[in-house]
Formats: sequence, structure tokens, C-alpha cells
Amino acid sequence: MGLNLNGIQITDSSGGFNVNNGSFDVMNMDTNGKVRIHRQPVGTAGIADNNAKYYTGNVDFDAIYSVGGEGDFIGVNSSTTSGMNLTNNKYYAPIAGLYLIQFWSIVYPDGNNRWHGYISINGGTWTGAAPVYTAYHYAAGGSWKTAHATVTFPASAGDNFGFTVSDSGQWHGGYHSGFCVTYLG
Amino acid sequence: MGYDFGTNAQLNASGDALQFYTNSAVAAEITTAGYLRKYNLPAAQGTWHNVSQVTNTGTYPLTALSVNQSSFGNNATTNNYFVAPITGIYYAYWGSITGNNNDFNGNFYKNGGGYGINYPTRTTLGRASAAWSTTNMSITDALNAADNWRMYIENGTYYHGSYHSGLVCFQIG
Repeated sequence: MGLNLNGIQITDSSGGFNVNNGSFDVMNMDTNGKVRIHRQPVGTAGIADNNAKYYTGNVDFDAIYSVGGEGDFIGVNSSTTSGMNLTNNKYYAPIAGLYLIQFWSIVYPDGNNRWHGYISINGGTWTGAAPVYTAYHYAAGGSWKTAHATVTFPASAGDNFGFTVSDSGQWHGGYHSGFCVTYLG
Repeated sequence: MGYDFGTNAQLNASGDALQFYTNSAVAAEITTAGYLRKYNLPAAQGTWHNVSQVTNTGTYPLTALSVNQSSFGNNATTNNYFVAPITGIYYAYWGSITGNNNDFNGNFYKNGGGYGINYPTRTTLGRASAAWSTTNMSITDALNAADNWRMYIENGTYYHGSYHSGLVCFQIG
């Protein structure tokens, strides 16, 4: 028993129900009321390179740790128009909606290191609101410092998210730096 | 058993999404591509733009909210609070930096009171030997409708707006 609406199939499932788009399950609800959403746009990239970095501009990600979601086909590398794109160092939103975007990194303790950056939306600064800047460390002989930036952004399909260093002291990847995007709905 | 969606759920004009309506507006949809979208997801974020260093005990100020969040239920913030519009599980992130050569303590407050010692809701940062430090923390909790969250500075000196500080809140489910 079920319902088919232009390919979206809603079926009973032993007391719960399934929603299927004709190719894969979109959503399930079990008899305990637990809901699973299968096609969940996500992406996590990092900076594995341990060399010291001083540049300003877009952060150069060199590793992808996760992308897409079950039933999803979000691209992993440069040839795709959605998902994390290492060539452009951006995450491309596959659909419209609200996204959570996070970045973190560290700064070397030697020298007068100073480090600023911001989560960039379509190449620009997202200053609508939120802790978009991260800044760390401005003293010689100090300790290692971390920096974080987190925003939510209501994106259109195709919008891209990245991280831009606006002024830079010495920092590095070494798996201490990363970028994570989650679709909220 | 049957399916009587009436006008509260229907295919969109292009036939590529099953849309759910409340008050004659689309509240959620399931697309033929397999995505689930929630148009009215409660969410808000605010930041503090003023470039200044502050020694103050009290609620952390938020002077700007993302107007672009309005379509997602702009539920922050009067009086620098995030107010839950409906009962559910919520997530909050807060980040800031210290005053130069200063430290401070911050704590998530729920309905005006701090969380107890068994909750990881207090952060402290920055020492005189290390200028400009950042701190951040996150929390999830079950909120009832009209419960509120805020960041409360218990002591110390923090710096500064200019987009270095802010609060992000949204409903998980």
C-alpha cells in the first residue's frame, strides 16, 4: 500500500514508512519514530600540508575527508559543480537552503604571528552577521593558538563557500586545519 | 487507511517536489532528486561589530542579526537572546576573542541561569603572556517553546566586534 506522486513513492513499512524517489530511499521513519534522511549534502576538507604558510587569499585545501551522503552523487573533485571542489577550494551547494559552514586552524607560536581570515560566500566576505572572522596570536614567544569561524548561510543552489586569509602570519595545515559544510534544511 | 493530503500537501507546478503547506505557504518539501528541505527551520545568528575592548559582566551583546535568515525563522534575538519558537533539540555555537593581554569567562545561560558544573558550557581564555586568543564552544539541549539561550560573560575582558564574535543557533529536530 502506498502513494506515488510523480515518482515520489510513500509506502508503509512495517508500521513506519518510507519515502523513495524511484531510485533510492529519501527518508525513513521507523516504528519508534526515528527519522533518517539519506540525501544529506555535507563536505569536509582539510589541509594536510605541514609546511609553513604565509599566503593571503583562498585557503588551499588538499584533502577531502567526506562528501555527499548516502544516495548522493556530489562530486569529490574538480569536474563537478556541487560538493567540495579541491581545484577551486570551494564547496558548491547542490540545492537551496540553510548551510552550516565551519573552519579552524592554528598559528605557529614563534615570531609575531597574526592571522585573520573569513568564511567567504561566492568569493566575498560574509558580513551579514556572525563570527566570520577568526584571528589568532599576535605576540612573540607565545603558545600555539587556534582559530575558528562558524556561520550559517541561506544559500541558493550553486552558491559556493570557502575560506579566505585576509592577512597572514605563519600558520600551517598538518591536519590541524579543516573546513566543514553541513546542509541543515 | 488512506492518504488525504487535501491542499496541505501537493505536488508543485513543475512536478518535481511534494510540498507541505502551513498557512498557505510552503513549509517543507521532498524533491524528486531526493532532498528534504525545511523552509522554516528555526535559525538565527548575531555578531558584535563595534571595535572596542570591554570589561563587563553580563549578557554578551549582539548588535546585528542576519536579515537573510528571516525566511528560516529569525528567532533571535531581542535582548541578545535566542528564543526557541517551538519545542525541540537545538544547537548553539558561540565564539569570541579576548582583550589584548586579558582573559575572560563565558557561559551559556538558559532562561537566565547558567548550566551546572556537569555541563561543558563554560569557556575561559587568554593570558597576559599571549595576546589575542580565541575561544568558542557549542552546546545542544532540549528546549521548550519560548526557552531562551544567551551568552553570559561572567568576568574578564573581551574584544571585540568587527565580526570576530558571534552566536549561531538553529533547531536540529
